[in-house]
Amino acid sequence: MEISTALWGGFSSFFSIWQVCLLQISPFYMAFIAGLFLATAGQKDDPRIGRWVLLPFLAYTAGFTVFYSLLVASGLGISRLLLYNVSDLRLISGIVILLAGLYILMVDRISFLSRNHTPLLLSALSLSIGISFALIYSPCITPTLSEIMGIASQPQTAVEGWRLALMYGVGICAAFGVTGITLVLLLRRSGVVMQNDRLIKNIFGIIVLIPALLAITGLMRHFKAFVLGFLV
Amino acid sequence: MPDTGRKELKSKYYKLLLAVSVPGLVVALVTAGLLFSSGDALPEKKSAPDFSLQLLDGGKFQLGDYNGKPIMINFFASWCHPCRIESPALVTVRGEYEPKGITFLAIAIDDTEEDVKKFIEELDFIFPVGLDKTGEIKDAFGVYGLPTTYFINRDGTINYTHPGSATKDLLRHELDKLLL
Repeated sequence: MEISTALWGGFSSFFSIWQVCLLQISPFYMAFIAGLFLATAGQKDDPRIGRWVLLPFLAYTAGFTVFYSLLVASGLGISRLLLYNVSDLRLISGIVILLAGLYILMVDRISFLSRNHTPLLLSALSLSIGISFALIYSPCITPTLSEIMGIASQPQTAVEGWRLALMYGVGICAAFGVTGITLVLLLRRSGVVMQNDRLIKNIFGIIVLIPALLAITGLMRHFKAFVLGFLV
Repeated sequence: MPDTGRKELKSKYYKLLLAVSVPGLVVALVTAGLLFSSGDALPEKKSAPDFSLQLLDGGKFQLGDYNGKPIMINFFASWCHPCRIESPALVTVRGEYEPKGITFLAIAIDDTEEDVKKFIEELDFIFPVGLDKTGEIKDAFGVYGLPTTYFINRDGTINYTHPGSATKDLLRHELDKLLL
């Protein structure tokens, strides 16, 4: 399989029937990125997209892609280690997402957080969110992903499969990025949103708390069955 | 130092830190992955983990009770689109191969009993089905993605794992291998 096929497979899955499965994480990612942007717009004079949105997006991509590809490449020893402990890792992920949601809610209330609200901190937060989302996500296996997983499951071809899975993950994140940045641009242009930025930021922060609570309490399966089951 | 100079330095420091930390993480994980996978060039077939599962029809499935018999286990969820696509193939093939001595089981994961029952009814999914409520069985098998089907030999080792929607031909091909 070509690298470009894997990349396109990941990207196109976001804009097709497979999006139903991505709904496990996509609305929460949008809320996270929009919440960060509004938190920045309320804090800083110059919330330039490049610095405040693009860097965190790249960090998210790195975190999500690396862990997603490792979970997919079951032929690698480290993948098996992750897969056999994924339930515990999901609990930790829930705590990480909870902290990110609380950060969005509290950044304008706690001066320590406001002082440290920098692209670097947001990037570190995004990196952790990317890793956490890869861990709480249960992908539906598309035909392209099926082929990649087949290659990645054999120890002899696991590294090649891992590379393809990495590209597939980059494809998914590119679609997340396009959608997330479009959302941020739309929010930026909306007078109503910018006038009520604190309120809307808080709503996004609360949305980010949802997967956190679901992952911590073990109720994620109810969300998947109810919301995704309703759409499929 | 003037304020602008300090800010510039701080900004450079952040960029440097970010530029080092992200690729650093990637390199560390790749290295770890390669290290952990070394020595797996000629792997032995892995044994399927033993488990006990309450079936939705009231029965109980204990993998250990099926020693000496080939088994096919399918992991699915009611909300999973490819699982819906493959379900008719699973039902057909079960009808063909159960009389030949193969045991079939479907395990729903990340799901609720109510939705699984709805799935069975809607798709006429005539299959022994259980729900892995805690995710323990899924973790023991190392399942990440749905659907995933395991073909287990008579000696309890996993002969083949198929990630994704399986066709009738693929299922028949793998089940024939279990009967050899």
